[in-house]
Amino acid sequence: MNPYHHYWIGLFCLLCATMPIEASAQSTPSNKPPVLIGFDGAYGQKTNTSAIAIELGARAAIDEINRAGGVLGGRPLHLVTTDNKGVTARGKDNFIELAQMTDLVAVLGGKYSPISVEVLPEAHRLKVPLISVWGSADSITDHAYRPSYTFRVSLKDDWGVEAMMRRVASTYKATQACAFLPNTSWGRSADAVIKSKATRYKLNFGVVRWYNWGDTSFAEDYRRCLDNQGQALMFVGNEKEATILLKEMAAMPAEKRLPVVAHWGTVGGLLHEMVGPDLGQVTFDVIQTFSFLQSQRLRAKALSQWIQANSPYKNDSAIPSPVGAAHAYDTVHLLALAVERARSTQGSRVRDALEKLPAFSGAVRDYKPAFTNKRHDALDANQILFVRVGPDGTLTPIP
Amino acid sequence: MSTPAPLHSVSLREQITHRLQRILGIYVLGFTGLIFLLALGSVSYFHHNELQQYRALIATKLSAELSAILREADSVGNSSVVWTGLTDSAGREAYLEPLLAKMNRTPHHQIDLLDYRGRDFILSPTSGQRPRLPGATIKRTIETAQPQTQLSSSDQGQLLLFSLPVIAPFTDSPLGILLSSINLTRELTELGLPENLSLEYSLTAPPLNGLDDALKAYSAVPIPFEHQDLVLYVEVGMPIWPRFLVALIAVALTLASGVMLHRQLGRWAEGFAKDLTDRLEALVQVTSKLSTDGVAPPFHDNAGDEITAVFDAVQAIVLRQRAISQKLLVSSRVFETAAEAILITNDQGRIADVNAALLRMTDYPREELVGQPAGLLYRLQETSQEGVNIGEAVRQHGEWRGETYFLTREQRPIPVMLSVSALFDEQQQSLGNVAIFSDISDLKQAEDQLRELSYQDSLTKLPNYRAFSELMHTLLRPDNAQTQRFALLFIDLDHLKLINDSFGHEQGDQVILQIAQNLSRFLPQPHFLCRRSGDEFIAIVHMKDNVAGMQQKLKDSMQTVTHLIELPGGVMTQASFSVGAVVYPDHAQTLNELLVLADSALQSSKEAGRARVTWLNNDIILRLTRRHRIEARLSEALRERLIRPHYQPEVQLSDGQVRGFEALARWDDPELGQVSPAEFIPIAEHMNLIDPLTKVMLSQIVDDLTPLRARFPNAKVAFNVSAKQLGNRRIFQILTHCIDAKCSSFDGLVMEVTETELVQGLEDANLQLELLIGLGIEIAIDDFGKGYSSLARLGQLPIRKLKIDSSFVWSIQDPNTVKIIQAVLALARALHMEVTVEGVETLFQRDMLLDLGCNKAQGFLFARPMSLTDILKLPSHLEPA
Repeated sequence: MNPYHHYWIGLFCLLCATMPIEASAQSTPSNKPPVLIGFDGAYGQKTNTSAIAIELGARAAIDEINRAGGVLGGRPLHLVTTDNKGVTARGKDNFIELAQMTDLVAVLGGKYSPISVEVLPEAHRLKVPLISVWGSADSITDHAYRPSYTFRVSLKDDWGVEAMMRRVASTYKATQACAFLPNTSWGRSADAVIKSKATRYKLNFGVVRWYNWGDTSFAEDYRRCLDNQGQALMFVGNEKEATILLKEMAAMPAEKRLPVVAHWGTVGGLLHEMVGPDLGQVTFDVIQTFSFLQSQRLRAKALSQWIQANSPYKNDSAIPSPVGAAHAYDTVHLLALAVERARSTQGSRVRDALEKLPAFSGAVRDYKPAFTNKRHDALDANQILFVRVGPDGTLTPIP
Repeated sequence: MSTPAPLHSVSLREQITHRLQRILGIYVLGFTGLIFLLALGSVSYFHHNELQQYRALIATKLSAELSAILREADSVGNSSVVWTGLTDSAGREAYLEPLLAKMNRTPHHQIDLLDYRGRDFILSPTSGQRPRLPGATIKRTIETAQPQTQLSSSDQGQLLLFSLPVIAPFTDSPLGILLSSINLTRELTELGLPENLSLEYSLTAPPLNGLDDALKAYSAVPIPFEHQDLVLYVEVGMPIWPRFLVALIAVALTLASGVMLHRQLGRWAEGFAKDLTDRLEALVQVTSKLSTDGVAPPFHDNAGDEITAVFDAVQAIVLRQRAISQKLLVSSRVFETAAEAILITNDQGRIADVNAALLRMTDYPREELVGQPAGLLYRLQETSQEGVNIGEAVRQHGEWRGETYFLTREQRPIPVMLSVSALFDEQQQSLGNVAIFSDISDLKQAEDQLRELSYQDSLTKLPNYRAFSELMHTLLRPDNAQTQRFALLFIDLDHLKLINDSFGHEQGDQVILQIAQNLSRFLPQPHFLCRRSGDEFIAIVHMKDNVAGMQQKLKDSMQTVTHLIELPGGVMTQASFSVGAVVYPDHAQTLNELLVLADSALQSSKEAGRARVTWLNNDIILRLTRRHRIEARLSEALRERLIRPHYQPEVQLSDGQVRGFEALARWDDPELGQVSPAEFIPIAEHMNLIDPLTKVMLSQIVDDLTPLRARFPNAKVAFNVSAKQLGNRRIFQILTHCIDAKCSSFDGLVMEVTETELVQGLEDANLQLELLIGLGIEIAIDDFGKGYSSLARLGQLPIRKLKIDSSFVWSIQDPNTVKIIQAVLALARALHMEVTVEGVETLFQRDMLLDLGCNKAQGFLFARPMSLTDILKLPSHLEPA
């Protein structure tokens, strides 16, 4: 991949962020008022590719729907994006701003779980559904608000982190493991799963390190992990922290490099560019729910084609953060179905409709149905797969 | 002639007073002005300096403190925990609040955390009580992502409010804002600044103001922070007027004291001027009186200043005038009554005045002399007795003194002692001369008699040696062609000492007188005979014949050299001469040589038995020559160690065992051959080389002592010292010098001293002997019995040994000698001394000595003196030869 690619992405994001209405208007023949879907993503995070992937997925679905006549009798869907730069307060402000827009039916939540968690009170106050298409923190959907306005078409730590533990235990036969967790609600969510389910896999997490965004080294904690007879490392974090970890591990002798099972935030950005050749030095398995390279589903292929036609990514393996694109794609389709069913753009009615969707065959899975009034998580452990990151950023599924 | 200035037009008193007051007035004004300027300058300077010091102090303190506070706030606020907190949601309070609580521990700089839009996020406890940056400034912090500052006054003091953006490396805009404030007033409290120091802060450079600049100090305090330096401007001021007040008081005091000084000095000047003018008035009166009357009344001025000095000078002039008058009176009396004749001439050489003594001496009346040339009395132009031109000498040197003659009215010359001095006026112009004459006629007469006496022997009336010297001086003058051959006789009266001792000196003088008369009568004519000293005469006999004839003639005439002389009282005694004779110019041409040769010939006469005439011959010359050569070689021989000790063993008489040695000096010279001690020791003494000789000998003896005592255990080695060396610790010094050089021990050394030396040596000798014994040296008396030993003294001396003189051994057949030897042996036993007999040469002598109880001896019977090498070859017991 072109090393200057991320600059291109930046430019693309800028265009998308500043001209959302014009962009969608081109694909919509109707003059009826659009039905708005919001997306608040961390565009401002320079190495993050999740926001653009989600936007591509959403736009692909909107394009399909609008081509098919839109919703509510010909009203075009329209995507409104905001940039939270990964800052929770900003995300909250953005949500309020989006939620107060006329005919906005829902807001898609992005990569940063804490922002989604932060928005929870506002979503319920303003009665606008928040559908997380990336965030995995359990508390996004597991909370006390009733009726719940939050939904998720994404990995959930409850079973995602469990799958990571399972891989640590079964694939790498580890009994002593270490975990590096961010000092945020995401990390706390993962920690809760570890605490409740580690014994199930006879895993002992001797070293659990809580790190902060912006920390510059894991070397000391990694050494403690080795000293503690750690056999594998479970890593929860994003591409910047993973880069630091991988570079520090690559600098060590081969026998001291433990296998790492990582959460998917690590591939939500330009990890391969930041790590460079050291990437192949460490066994680094990343959890995913979807792969263009593996999925044979019709909608997956349609999505891929749309992206290749409408972006600089010209093959399956080049599409960054594929889970973001696939989840957003499926979510927009589900949302369109809900709007139709609700026959309204009112948040509470759309929320109700989401709980009563018909079955839908998405890019990720067949939703039979996606949500119920008791289940706001559209995916489950069956979608889980693990990938390795190639030098060009290709996420190749592994057994 | 210039016209005199009008007297007292302005009085001196007024002049002094006015001038002084004017000068003082100017001075007081000038000084006050100067003080004022100095005070003004120093107050400003001091004020400015002080402000600068405070300014620097405040700048340093604030710069450091503010930078530290900002950094601390930034380091905590911009940590990864805060970054995470700002991107976290529910649950972040668990770690964020403790962190901020930790930051806000101190109440003075608490920090509020705002969100990315400047809304309150987490506030510090004192947040509500502190002024806060306005929203616009906070907004600017967000927009510029740069720290912002603002000053704010509160009742707690001057506050510096600031905001810091929280920027994480992973975002492109601030995550939040940190708000805090610093109480500048509080930060400076601990500097203990003065209360009246005013401080103004601003964040922009204050405008310049001419006057304020002088009274205030500005400082731009850099606050180093990250890549951006914040600047705080501090204006330090302090009221200057109180200081100026002090300066003004100082000026006022100066002015007041100046005015007082002016008044006091004015008053003093008036009094001083009055006193001065009064005294000058008195002085004027005195001098006027002096100039008109020539005398002045007694006056006094005791102030001790310059006027007193003028008074004193006038007084001194008066007194000197009086003294000169008195002196003139005395001088004229002296001139008139002096015993010496005094003549005063004018610059023309004519007589100006004469005194009474001169008139008496010359029989001239005064009027015949005054106005006449001085040459009438004496002839200045003529030469003195010494051939000096007196007039010339006086012109050159200003004076002359000497003997000359003086002519009376009858033209009779009188010998005089003349003293002429030139007289000069103040411009060194000649005024003439003063001549003083003393009549020395009587002195001259006495002098002539004395001269005669000084060339005559008072006893014999013969010419004395001085007359002889003068005669010889004349005869031997190289230019004296008339000098003919003559014989010089050195005549010595034999045994005058015996005559003196036997009959007394008066009788001795009689003998000398008669001999002198006899010699005058019998010596061939013409001759010159003089008495040289006591019993010595020198005669010069002019030779008309050849030498042989002269010798015969002299022999004939000296037949009667031995005379029976009748002494007063009818005693007859025999007196004879020994004569040494040399011939001029055959034997020598100088007086000294003649005398030396004659003396040598005389010595030959004496050695040949006296009462004879010995003409200088080759033998004498040879002996003399050898003596000279010995003298010439002696120093070198000592230096080259040609003089070496030989050793003569001293044996036990009973069995011949070697008990000791006597070291004897031997000189075997490559040029002179064997030189006997009898020859060179007197010469060494004469040449003052006896000490070096002793040193050379002792040095070698000490060297030889070790091998000698190794070969002959307990043997002692004796050395001899000369009579003169016992004085002045000389021998002691030689020995201690030897110690310094190399001698480690004198054990086994015996010093032999003759009894004569000991007797004469007195206390000094005794002391020196004690010192020598202290060095480990034993003392023996050599040649005992030959002199006149004081037995009493012998007992007092620390003597270990007596050596009986060989003369006793030679006459051992004589019963008296035997008695003497017995007595000596008894004495030695009584005094616990050892006895050795010297000069044992026959078995008979040995046996006799053994019979007498004598144990030790040395002599040719046992061994001659021999070299160390030969000695070391000797057996330990010697058999008689």
